[in-house]
Amino acid sequence: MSIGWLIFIAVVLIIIVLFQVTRTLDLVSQLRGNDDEREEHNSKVNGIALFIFMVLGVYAYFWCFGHFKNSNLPPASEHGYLIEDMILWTLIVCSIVFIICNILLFTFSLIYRYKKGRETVHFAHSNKLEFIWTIIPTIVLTGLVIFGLQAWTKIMSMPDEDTFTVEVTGQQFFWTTRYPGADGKLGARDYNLICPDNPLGIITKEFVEHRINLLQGNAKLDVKGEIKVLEERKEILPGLIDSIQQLIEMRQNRYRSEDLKDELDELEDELDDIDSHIITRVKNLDRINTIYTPEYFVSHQDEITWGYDDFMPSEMHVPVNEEVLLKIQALDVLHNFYIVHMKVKMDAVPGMPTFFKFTPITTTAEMREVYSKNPLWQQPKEGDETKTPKWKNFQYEIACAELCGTGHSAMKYILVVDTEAEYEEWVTTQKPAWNNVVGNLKIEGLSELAPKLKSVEPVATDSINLVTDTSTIASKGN
Amino acid sequence: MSLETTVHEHQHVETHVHGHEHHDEHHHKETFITKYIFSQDHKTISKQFLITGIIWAVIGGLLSVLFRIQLGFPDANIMWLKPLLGKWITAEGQLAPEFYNALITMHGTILVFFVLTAGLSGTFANYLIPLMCGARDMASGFLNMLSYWFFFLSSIVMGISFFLATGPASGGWTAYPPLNDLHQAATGSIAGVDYWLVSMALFIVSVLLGGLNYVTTVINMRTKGMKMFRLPLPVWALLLTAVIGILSFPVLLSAAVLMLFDRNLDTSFYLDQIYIGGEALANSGGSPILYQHLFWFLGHPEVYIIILPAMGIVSEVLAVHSRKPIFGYTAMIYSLLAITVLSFIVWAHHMFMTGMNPFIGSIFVIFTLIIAVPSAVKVFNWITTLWKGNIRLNPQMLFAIGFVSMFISGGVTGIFLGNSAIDVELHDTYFIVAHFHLVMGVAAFFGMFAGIYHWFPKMFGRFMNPTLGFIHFWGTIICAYLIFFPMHFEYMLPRRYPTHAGFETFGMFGELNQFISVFAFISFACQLIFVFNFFYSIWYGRKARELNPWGATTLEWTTPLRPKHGNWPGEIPEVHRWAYDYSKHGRDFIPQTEPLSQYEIEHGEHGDEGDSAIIQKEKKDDH
Ligand code: HEM
Ligand SMILES: [Cu+2]
Ligand SMILES: [Cu+2]
Repeated sequence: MSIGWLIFIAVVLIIIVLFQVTRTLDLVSQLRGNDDEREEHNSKVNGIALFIFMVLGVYAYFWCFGHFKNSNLPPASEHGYLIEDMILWTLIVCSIVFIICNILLFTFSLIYRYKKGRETVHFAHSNKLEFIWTIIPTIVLTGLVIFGLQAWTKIMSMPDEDTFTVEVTGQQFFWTTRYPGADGKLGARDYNLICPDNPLGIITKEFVEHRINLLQGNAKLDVKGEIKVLEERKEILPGLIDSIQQLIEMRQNRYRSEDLKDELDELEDELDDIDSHIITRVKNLDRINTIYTPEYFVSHQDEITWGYDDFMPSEMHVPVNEEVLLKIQALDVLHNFYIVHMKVKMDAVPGMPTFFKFTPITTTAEMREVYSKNPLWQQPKEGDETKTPKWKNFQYEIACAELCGTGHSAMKYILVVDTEAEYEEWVTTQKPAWNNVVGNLKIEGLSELAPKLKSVEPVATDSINLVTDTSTIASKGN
Repeated sequence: MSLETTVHEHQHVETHVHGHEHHDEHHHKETFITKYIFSQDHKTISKQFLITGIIWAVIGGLLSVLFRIQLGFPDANIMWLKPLLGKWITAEGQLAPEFYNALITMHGTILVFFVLTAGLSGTFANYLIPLMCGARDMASGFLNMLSYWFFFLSSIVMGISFFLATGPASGGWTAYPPLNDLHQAATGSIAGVDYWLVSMALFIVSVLLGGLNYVTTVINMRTKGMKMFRLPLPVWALLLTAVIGILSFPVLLSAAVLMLFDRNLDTSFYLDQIYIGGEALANSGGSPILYQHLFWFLGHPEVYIIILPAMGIVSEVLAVHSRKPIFGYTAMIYSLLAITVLSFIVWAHHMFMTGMNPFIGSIFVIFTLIIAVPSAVKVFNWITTLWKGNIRLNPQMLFAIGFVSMFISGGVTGIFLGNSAIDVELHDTYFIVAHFHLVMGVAAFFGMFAGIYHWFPKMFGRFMNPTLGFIHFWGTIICAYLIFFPMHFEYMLPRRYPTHAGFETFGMFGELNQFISVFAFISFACQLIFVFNFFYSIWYGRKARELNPWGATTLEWTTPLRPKHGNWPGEIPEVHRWAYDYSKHGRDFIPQTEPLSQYEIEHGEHGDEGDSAIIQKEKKDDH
């Protein structure tokens, strides 16, 4: 019990009181005047009210533009100005229509409100009028379409091949960007190779090997799983089947002896689930084995070597006034890469890269200047001990604009627009992602990788840390 | 007091129905069950749709109150809701984020499908089509009854999903894959989505059964003299609504079935190269975008399924209560037809930002902005209908006028969105939320309210309390504008966020969100006034004593005060003119059943020049 309920009770009471009052009023009015008088009275009151409502509404309409002007976004990209222009023109056209139509609507309601014996006309139809108001919107809309499509084509046209490209990947619930490194080329990727050490699935021999090890190790750890589907996998997962069988029997016996029906059912469900996870992994292994034949590494040498120097920074940096092409991807569900001030917005779709190009024209530092004059950015951030005004810490923020699950609103990422010099310097501080992981990979016999791929043998699991992977399984088991 | 005991005139339902399937029904003694539950009377089925719709509207509205608490008062402690919501309230007394998503998903689904589709066109198509066409019932009363019960089943399934341990679907009312396709992608996707899909499948069966019936009835069962171009506009609107539904809902069914396959049979219609929860899935070759095409091929027509009935109702109410013919009757019909056709070729305007080919996007821009033309024509015609009328500003008329205003306000923002370049900035933000709530949500509700206040005396033999109606109207329109107009200024705020607190850029709307939430609560309370008024008036409202209280020309007002199954006790009346002879020849109105007088030209087709001449002639004749 608290204010919530109190409000609820108050509302109910108000409704009851209102009702009693109105009922009495209605009864009184029915006793008094005749239908016509009542109708006239109601129409007058409501007609005047409609008119006042309209006048206040039109006033509020313009008032809002002033009131909210500080929360508008200063555009920071080249095409942002195109969009601003379009919005402005459309706003002008639409405001005229909106205001005129509403004024007529509410004014007519007042002027022609019910009066006994008022003359009405039987005006059913006029070719001329109807022609006019079909043609005018058509012309105006045609103008807007032409204007709009020009902008659209410009925004969406694909830039030259050698445009500076940054790869963006969305997943629950964060963004990763990947830069091409010194060679200017992004290495190839494969979702089959993704693992905690290789979050984007960059293809290198070592990562292929590593993934295989992980998968086998995983499969071995999933000893709780079911059997039948795995029968045929005996060669690649020896020993697995027996232990699963034992485990299941143990648990089943216990549940039976204690007559725990629910638990028995649950066990069944759990087995189904674990089963499907094992199949997923086995299939993953299969695909890797099919794709990464020794010939593959020969014929794809270039794409693979490009990958070694790619880097994945914790913030996205771009130089000002240079066109950037975003190659946008998603790993799991749809996301949408939304750089708020840049007016960049494009879905990230699993299995289908999308593209968006933009040219930032305001550096982060310049934008701080802009915001230093904005009253909404003068306060310090809540809980900020140093009391720095917000504009001093302004950052271009990147959000997700396509519902992607529980953490949708938490997919914040930062874009920093540097000057050319700042950017160059920043690049030199970035380490290739490969550097960070290569030490973690405990792989023997890299050189013999190729032959091993065809006949995989189980690898001792203790050399690989599987905590992340198994914990996800456990959490999904419920 | 039951409905029946209040009937005063015990008319005899004729037992002999000419050439009609319902032939023998009237011989049977009606029990409570056949009369109120498994009734095949279109009027009863209509009321079933309406009341179910109202119940769902209250639930859907309540959900929005819950998430508006979260949005407006993110720091409020809502522990007091724990008894109701259980584990969806976190230990800190906050709404769990996955529950927020479930709330908006269910809110959208319920209002779009259960309230504004079933509750609106289910109610009025059932009620008005036979009565306005002059038919004893729908073409098939039995299928019509099934239509309601499929809807009922569908809503039960959706209702059950609220009580799942893992909660109802939480991936948005559009249910995009892979979020909704993969069990591991969201809590609501574990089981809730299956319920959502099954419920939608049942719902689609209901829409199709109903729709086929409506179309057949309008085409085949009009009374003598009721030419298509004499039909009142609600019938036209409801007919075209049914046509849109029949053509588009099956596509949603296929989308839903494919998703059920993906979810339960391991197919990959919508999946390709997915890495989720630490696993690379085997699915390959599908496309999440395919689903969006299928969904919006229904989804866009769906918004017209929602708005057309409201347009029809409003056209009728505006004409009757301004005592004038609807302006541009033929243009109104052609614009409905144009909207019907165009609504099928604009769907991809919801998908400009999916990485679709920009050239294809351009084509959809063109069609989308073309569809604004017939919409504009309708608006101008409605406004002209008011001009020089004698406007009775009763609740139904106020809601009709409010509808036009809302439709204008929400329609102009469509012009922004239809231009794909602008949509880059506005897609999936609160601007969209404002757009469709004004143009579809609020407008369609206004149309529905106008219809309910207008036909209530016919439906229940009593009037709703007009003073409560006025309060309801003013509360609703003021709140609706205060909620949704300022929301346009949040045009950079992404939608479907339980909180924007993580972002500095979005930090300036705390006050506005609070403002919006407060008016959302008030507006919900105003709807309770309506609900109360509705149910109270069914039993205790002022009794209707005249057959035709509004002085309308259409056929439904020629039936007895409380029509029985079969609608007219005697012969079905014959129709001699269109439905909008108001203020003609110096008469307030001329019912459709009245034959044309000797020199009379039908419905102003040939301009009004002849009109005064005719009156002169008639006057001479009288002498
Ligand atoms: C003037 C004509 C209209 C145009 C040009 C128009 C245009 C658009 C566009 C382009 C979008 C997609 C925006 C986006 O997601 O980025 C949209 C969204 C929407 N429109 Fe309209 N619209 C118009 C009228 C209507 C009408 C009459 C209705 C309903 C009766 C309606 C209901 C909706 C809904 C429900 C959505 C949002 C769906 C969602 O994403 O959840 N629109 N409109
Ligand atoms: Cu997201
Ligand atoms: Cu649409």
